[in-house]
Amino acid sequence: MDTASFQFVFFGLAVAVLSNFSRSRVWRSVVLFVASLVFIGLLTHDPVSLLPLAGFLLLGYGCLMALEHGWARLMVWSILAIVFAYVWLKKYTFLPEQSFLHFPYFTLGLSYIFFRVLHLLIESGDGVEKRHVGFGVYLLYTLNFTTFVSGPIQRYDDFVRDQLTNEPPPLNAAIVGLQLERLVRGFFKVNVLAMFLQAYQQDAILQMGEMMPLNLKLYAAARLFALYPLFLYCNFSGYIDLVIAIARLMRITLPENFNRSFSAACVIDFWSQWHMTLSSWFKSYVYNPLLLALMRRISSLTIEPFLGVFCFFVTFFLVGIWHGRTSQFVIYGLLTGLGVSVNKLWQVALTQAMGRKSYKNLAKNPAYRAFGRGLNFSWFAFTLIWFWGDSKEIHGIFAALSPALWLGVWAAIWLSATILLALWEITRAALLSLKTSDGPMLTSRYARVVYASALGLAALFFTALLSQPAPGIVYKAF
Amino acid sequence: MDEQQIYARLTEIFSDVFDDDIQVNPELSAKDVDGWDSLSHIRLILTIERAFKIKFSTSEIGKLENVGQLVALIKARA
Repeated sequence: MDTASFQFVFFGLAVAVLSNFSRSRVWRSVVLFVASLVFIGLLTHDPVSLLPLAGFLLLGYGCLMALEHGWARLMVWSILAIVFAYVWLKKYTFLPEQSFLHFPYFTLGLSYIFFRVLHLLIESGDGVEKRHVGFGVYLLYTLNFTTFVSGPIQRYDDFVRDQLTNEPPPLNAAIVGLQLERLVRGFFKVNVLAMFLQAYQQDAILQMGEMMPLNLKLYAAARLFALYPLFLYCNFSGYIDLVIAIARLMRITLPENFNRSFSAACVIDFWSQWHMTLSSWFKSYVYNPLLLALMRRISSLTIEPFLGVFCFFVTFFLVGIWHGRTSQFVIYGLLTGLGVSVNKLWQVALTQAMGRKSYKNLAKNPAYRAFGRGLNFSWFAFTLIWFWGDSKEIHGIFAALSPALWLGVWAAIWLSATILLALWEITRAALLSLKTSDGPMLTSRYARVVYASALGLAALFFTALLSQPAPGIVYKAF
Repeated sequence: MDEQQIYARLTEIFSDVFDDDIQVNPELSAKDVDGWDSLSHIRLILTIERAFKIKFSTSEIGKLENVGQLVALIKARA
């Protein structure tokens, strides 16, 4: 049930049908709450294993009540308590082993509950939002099964807007059709594309440890580098397609998490198009307040851009280390922070050297954008090695080739990604330019029905033929 | 301070921060202005805070989507 399986899709569709028996907020909330409890119950059969998660939720609600009752001075302590409880329950390796709970317990969904709870605490603590969050609504918001496993991170106000109203977002045949098409697309991405990409990448990892001619080894190195970002995209965005479609059928509009991520022409743009709700959360609650605090203290137009670079580094370092509890995620965080901050530094330097208008023209140049797209892809692929590999695997991979050859592999991926992504953009634009009287032919109802049917059949064929369980959703582990 | 005065003051601030003549209107947002990135957004917020002698909270800054919302916030505070 925590994968993009048939069972999950049918469960979601059944809940959506039940939810639509009435538009009443009470009925829809009862259905959502019971469905979320059933969902969690299907993931673990041991009630004791849920106690730490229940404790975390109670701690969050206790802090929230304290802030709601005017104890604003407790905001920092509340945030620290929640952060500590999170890193302790997730067993981050910098904490002593003896301090951890020594029984198996359930942490699935904890990361995304963590973001939602912190969001509520910060908004209540800053004194602007004068609202009461009831315990029932708090549980509904934090345990919502559509966002439980891997997000997207929905804001409380947006959740309440759709859920706690008797006039929820409308649902008609066209909207239902679009959501069904999205379900098929998401299912195909996770169960066919991601599965094949993962198999090819795993094969390349195995080949790296074997004796073989250099040209084949270089090809294996390129595959293990370049295939993982594509696998991760299909795995994660496919699952997000499923949950957004299911939620919309339940009349809840979840925020989008991906927006043509690999079309981004630089690292900074990429992070506003990839895992968007996570980036937006960190921008709202880390980057903005940190930069504002620094700029209030240091008032200098010369230094300001460098404060921005520093804040980018801190923000994306934290984004990186959130992904895991071991030291390799510290390296992933450092590389992610480095990529974004060097990108910002480059923009600052070029703007100062060329002037704003000339830099703006350069940034629009198709060739410059194509090389930027390729560079972003190759950099992301490189940083992800510390995301998917364990320390032994990483050591083995880098020991298999000399640093110069690795540099060559990276350059080849940069160049290949530049050409292939540019061709993709050109092809997409050309296809979208074919229009009927109703708009682009590619996005017409008939085209959608044809390709959704084809993807659905292909997904059924491959899942039945290979008889393999749906691949795990990578982000459920975080 | 009425809305007209707020828009007039904001027009001066936008021109100063973005070094360009900008027609400030309620629908104006970051995608409409060259150079309105996350860094200049904070510079803009700070300049507005100083000009109107107000302070925005973290959640308010995070939720701002266009100038109309910004003006409504300033109006409520100033």
